[in-house]
Amino acid sequence: MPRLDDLQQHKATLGAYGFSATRIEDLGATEYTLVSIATDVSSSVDGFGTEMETCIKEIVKACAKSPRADNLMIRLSQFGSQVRESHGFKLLSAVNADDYNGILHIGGMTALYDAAENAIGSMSRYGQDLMKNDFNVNGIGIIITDGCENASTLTLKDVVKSMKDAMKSESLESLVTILVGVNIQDQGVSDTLKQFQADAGITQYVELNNAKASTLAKLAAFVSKSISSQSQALGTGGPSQQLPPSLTI
Amino acid sequence: MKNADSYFCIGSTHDVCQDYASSSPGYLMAIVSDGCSSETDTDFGSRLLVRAKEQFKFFRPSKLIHEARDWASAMNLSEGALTATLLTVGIDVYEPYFRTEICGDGVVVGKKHNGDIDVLSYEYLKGAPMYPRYLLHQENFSRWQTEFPENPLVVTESIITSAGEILRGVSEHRWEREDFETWRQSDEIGYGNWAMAEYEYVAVLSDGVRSFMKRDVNTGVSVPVDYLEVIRDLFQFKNFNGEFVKRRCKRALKDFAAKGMFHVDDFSMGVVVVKE
Repeated sequence: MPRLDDLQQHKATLGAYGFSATRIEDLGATEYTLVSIATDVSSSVDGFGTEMETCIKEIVKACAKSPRADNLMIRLSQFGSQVRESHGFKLLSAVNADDYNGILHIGGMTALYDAAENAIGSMSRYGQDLMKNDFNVNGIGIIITDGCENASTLTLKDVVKSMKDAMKSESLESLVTILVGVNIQDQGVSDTLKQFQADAGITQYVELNNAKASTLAKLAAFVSKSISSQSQALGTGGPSQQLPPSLTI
Repeated sequence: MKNADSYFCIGSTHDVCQDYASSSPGYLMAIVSDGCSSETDTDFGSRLLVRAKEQFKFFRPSKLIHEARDWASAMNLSEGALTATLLTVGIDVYEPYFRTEICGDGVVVGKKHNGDIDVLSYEYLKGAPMYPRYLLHQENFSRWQTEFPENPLVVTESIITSAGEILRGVSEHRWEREDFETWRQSDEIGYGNWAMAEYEYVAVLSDGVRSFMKRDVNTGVSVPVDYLEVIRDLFQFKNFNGEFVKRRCKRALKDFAAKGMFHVDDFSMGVVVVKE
């Protein structure tokens, strides 16, 4: 079970879900990469929920070992029929991999749009607060799903708006978003997710046709490298180059 | 809130950054050094001087320059490499004062609790500052005095009010040749005391703050920017946590660049804050 933490609550701009984040006065560095991971916990994930937890733990462990660890903040949310924040934007030093044991609560449908908007909007909002306080900020959002949208209160238009607002507001130096389709074995689902990526302006779509432990381990490595790459791009004025998933997964 | 932080970066016309700055939040001290452009290896020299001050915090410049000279010698650097200023801000161990020690030229900024900013500009009339290196031995000191006879140190005080109004040159003090000799003998180099009852933070800056230019987008011509305007826009700290000087300087320089402003000389700054 995750430890109780002392993060500051923020209200949502769109939708019903806000987010929490480390207080500005508790931050000491000059720049941060905000990492927002949103993972599907709908009923269909039941078959590989443990493997997903392991995947997330590996991502966090890899980030903690990064030379840029002091400049990373990570947020985890999970979505079934609703979006629930597992923990808000926290420094890597405040995160313990063991906190992720049993963190995912499987069940419900797939509120993909709500989750995507929340992941993007939280980075944009918090990024704005950080920028106002002279921090340099960029962001990377990873949305992991095994199926299509079927439960959100928000629409695709809201996701598109959230993405455009994040880009226009200059709250983030750059924003990279990755949609991961895990255990995708239906062409229809694959096509729908690819369309969602294109319509929402998501940077990259990565598809896995199974959810084996070895495959999710490769996903963890890919996500960690993408985070590291985006963190190294901070200060350059633009996003990191996309990693080709075919070489890593 | 008690903290210290510093920042330095290369000027647009330099190949090597001859400024160096360091700070110690634990000791509440910030140190800045600006190497002379016309001497070689002063990028090493500025670092050695700052390191000497970090290691021998309570040494006067005339004593720690000898330590720096020994390190320079071990690195096969000439004495000329040590031709750099040394500006320090710290806190008095016995009384509630910020204490500045200015050996060379530069700028000191003190932010008052009422929001006003006091700015002291240290400039030598002939552009030949009294470097700590001239305290190594009498010969150095005499040669400097002989080469630059009419070279007083002019300390000009200006005020930037909390409303952002600049009151330029409200007072001026000149230190002449005989004052330098007194300093050399008493080892009291450019000391200043700033009462914590009056000031919330004090900063030392190299003269790179006076080197800002602004490029006209239409004509392409660059004109000097008043350093007091730079200070007014630079000293807008949002908070004092962690690397607060680095954050502010990086953001300010980015904002300046967006307006076509750049600094030709290396720029460095150190701040100590004690705020209830």
